[in-house]
Amino acid sequence: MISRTVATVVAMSVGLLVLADFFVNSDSINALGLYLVRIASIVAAFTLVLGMVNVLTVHLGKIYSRDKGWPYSWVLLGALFFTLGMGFLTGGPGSAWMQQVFEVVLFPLEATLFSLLAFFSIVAAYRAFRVKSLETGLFVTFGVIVLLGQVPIGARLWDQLPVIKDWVLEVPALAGARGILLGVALGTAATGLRVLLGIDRPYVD
Amino acid sequence: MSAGTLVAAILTFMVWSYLLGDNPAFRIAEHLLVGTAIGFAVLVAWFNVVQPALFGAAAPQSPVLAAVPLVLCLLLMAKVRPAWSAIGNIPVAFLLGVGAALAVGGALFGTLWPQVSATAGLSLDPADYGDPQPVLASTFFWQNLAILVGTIGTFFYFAFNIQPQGPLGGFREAFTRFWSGIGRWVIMITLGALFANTLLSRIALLIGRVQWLLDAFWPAG
Repeated sequence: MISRTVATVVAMSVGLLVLADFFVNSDSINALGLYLVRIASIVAAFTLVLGMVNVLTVHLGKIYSRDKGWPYSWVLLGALFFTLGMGFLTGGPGSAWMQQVFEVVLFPLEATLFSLLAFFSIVAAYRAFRVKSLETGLFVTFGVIVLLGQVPIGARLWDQLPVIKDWVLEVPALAGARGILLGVALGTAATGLRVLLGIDRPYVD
Repeated sequence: MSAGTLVAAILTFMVWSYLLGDNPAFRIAEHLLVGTAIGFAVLVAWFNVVQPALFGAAAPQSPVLAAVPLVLCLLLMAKVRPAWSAIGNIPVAFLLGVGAALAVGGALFGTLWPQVSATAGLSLDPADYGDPQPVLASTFFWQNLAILVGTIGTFFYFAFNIQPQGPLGGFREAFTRFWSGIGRWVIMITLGALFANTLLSRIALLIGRVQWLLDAFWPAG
């Protein structure tokens, strides 16, 4: 109970001080706000270490109990300890050795994984591009216009297609994105205020 | 060809092997990616944020101020044990308090204010764009009007979905339904354009990987 109250008081007081930094132009409030944000960035970075401990616990448990796919956990742990060991021995993520790890392992794996999404996006497009109503008709029509307007074959088919594509992106798509952004910003502000006023307390177990 | 290029090429094919179905080669690549990415993220967090801020040149001069993040990090470690988890709520509350304040400030001053200003600042007068044509013949007028109507419609679609009661309730409902209907159309056009852009970016990545493989194994010239 006490820890709940302390946590609520901490969240509200710290949050309102940081929020005051946006509205009040005072050197002391600005310095305090900056200090609190810096501490938060340190704690947020430290949560990554805890996340790593959690991954270690889960995968060591998998290996210990011989769960399905446990040999892959060895691969994960091996890669994790190799990267960490190499990083600490060679002086951090900016060292030449770590750049090599990034270029040889991390970048190819990430880029290829995202390139794999091209195939799944095409399958999704095949499913999505079935006109069932006026709304899906708009989705398909303008999707195809933007798609063809950005590739050379579009201009070959009809030279006005890139012009129409530019208009779609600059007028209706801009209006839609702006409306969505306004809605998201209002939702974010409302949710944030609920946390700051102690109405929502997601930090309490 | 260097050993690094060969390893990168093998890893590329291991990931692509997923197109044939889930298989051990893909699983190995997947776990390798997760392990390496976590290791890299922890190294970046430690060397670029935690170490300089706690023990390096960026640490505050006052020992009390320097101790606060250290204490919060130690308290956070209590989250590892369920029995001590309540103590770990304090640093989590600190993080969420700061995060919520930044989110509110960012939403108000980083999104809401600039977007509203940009929409409200749209001039419907063609003369403001150096267009000598009369208002109704000007492209600028119609474009800006379409942006204005589209933005308001989209906003209505998200924000005003309560069933109106009392006098003029029917009129208010019809008014809201009209604007949110426009908003739904504009949202579908926007989503179509966004989907097309996402699809193209993924295809560009795929072409990039294929091009890299071609350059690595069959260099031009």
